[in-house]
Amino acid sequence: MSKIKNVIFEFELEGVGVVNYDSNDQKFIWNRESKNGNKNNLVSIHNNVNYSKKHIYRNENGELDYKIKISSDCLRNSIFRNDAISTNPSISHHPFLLNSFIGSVQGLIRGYMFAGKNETLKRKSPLTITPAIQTNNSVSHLEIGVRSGEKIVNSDSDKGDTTLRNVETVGEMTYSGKGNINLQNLQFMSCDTVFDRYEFNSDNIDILNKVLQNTLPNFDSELGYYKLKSSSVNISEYGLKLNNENVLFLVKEVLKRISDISIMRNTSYANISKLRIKLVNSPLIDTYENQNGWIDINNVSDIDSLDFDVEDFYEYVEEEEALTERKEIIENV
Amino acid sequence: MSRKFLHIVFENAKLFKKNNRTKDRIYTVIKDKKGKFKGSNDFRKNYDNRNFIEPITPNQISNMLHVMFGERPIPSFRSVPYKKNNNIYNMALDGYLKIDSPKQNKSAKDSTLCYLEETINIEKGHFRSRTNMKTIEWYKILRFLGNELSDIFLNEMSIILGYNPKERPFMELLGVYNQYPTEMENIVSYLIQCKKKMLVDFLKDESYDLNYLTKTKKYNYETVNKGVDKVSVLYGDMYIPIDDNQIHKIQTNVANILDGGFARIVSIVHETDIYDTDSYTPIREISTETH
Repeated sequence: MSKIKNVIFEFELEGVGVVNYDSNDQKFIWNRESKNGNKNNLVSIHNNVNYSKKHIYRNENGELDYKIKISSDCLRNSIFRNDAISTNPSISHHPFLLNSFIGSVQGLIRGYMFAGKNETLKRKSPLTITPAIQTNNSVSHLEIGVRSGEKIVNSDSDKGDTTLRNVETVGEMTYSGKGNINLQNLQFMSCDTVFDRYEFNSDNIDILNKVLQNTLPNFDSELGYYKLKSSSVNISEYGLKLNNENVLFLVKEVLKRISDISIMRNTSYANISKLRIKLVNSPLIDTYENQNGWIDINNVSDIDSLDFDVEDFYEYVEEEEALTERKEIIENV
Repeated sequence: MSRKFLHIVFENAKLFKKNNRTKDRIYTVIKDKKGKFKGSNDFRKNYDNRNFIEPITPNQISNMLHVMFGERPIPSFRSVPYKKNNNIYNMALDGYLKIDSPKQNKSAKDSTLCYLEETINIEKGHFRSRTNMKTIEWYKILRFLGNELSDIFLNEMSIILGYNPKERPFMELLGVYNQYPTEMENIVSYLIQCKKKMLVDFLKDESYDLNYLTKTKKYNYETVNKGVDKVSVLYGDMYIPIDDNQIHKIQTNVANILDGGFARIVSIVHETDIYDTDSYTPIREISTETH
């Protein structure tokens, strides 16, 4: 079986209305554009304007035009919405809470940065996803809405804070986007500051091992020195290398979450309607443009039936050898 | 024979411009007193000369190519003990870049052309995210008093009021001193002696300031971990020259550029198949100057 280097995917969403809003500073873009002669329907003189997130471009006439989009951050929130309501950086005070996050599916795939006074932990996410950009021709417009507010404190009048506002609305929507799962990043958990990657504190490896044993099937990795095979840099890196079964499990978990993307708001929604993936063996052949090799994901059993061997990006190096290599280099920094 | 080029398309590349007001924090590596490397963090704004003037420079393109060729990217502003691969860096220098993201006048008065901006969420470290408390509850007061003083206070108040005050909202104790001035004299003087006058002011309903708790770090529970910042979202494409003997070294067809940018190899094209070359900037001409 050929070995897989990364997994690329394409997805489509469909829904109604705007699900991802930008700040009202966007009005300055449309107001300036209007002053330049491109009269558009998004001009507003009000301060209360809810604009959708947009992919803005110049059309053939040189005028600003747009497609509504759902930002990659919004999509990532939706992908991991069932894993945790929110991640509070205060967990970095408690070694067990912290390591239970680091060793969770969300921590391993979404990545994190815990900025602490004494140490900062950071993992780069192996999942990259583009914004979902509108593919149909629905045109949005500004609608008048009302925002309720409480009575103004310390005011003698009975005036409330209820105001008129403009809100951008649109009808039926379809979107599409792309993504990639970087198996090289997924396969390795580094705790080596020399390589600019410090994902966990190796002093807490016992706690992390217990968490990973609960999260991943047949987790048997050991902390040690590993060398990136494809790199010309001959220094080994301290960390944990996940086995083939673990990486496959994590890929399936992330695909299950992507196949379940659902963004719900009070008056709008967007749900995933199509997902297809491609296992990349040859990077120049297995591209997005090549129509061969795509696997349609219609249900969870399609994901469960996936089976592939992951490229071994890292190889184990004996500790003595690794330390000798590193000593000279680190002293020179 | 015409040269071959990698055609790479990128989108969603978020550019954080130099912003002296941002509260965003960045990852850094420092050497501690013992000479050991340590992951750390700092405000993005604290670093002068750590923002490139140009949105995308040869350094970012080289790093993207490093990842595609299975090498580690080299941080532009942090020191690491390994060097960049010069072959890859030279490939980046010989390439051509086009950014398609639209520009607009900075403001009505300033005609400098700038990339459009959008607002995004950023996260803050919890130790920099304390906020003024909007509400006051028992658990905050008990922490403010400490274990020993809490017990004394609750016992005394139970005797005076005839019920356990902890079973009702703390706000019900506002001005309670005015109802039981004689009975509460002892506990009030003891609280003042223990330097808890804020609570006494509250019990007397005399210009108390609940924010006092937030001004003392260790009493504050409430944090706001999120903030907002402005980014320019860039998209475009580039052509990078490649030799036949380098083609088989490509490890992945997708890599990141800038923050969260999605760069992917579309195809390998011959020089003669590239049209509209005027709109592309030679990457070698892009300045790596910082500000």
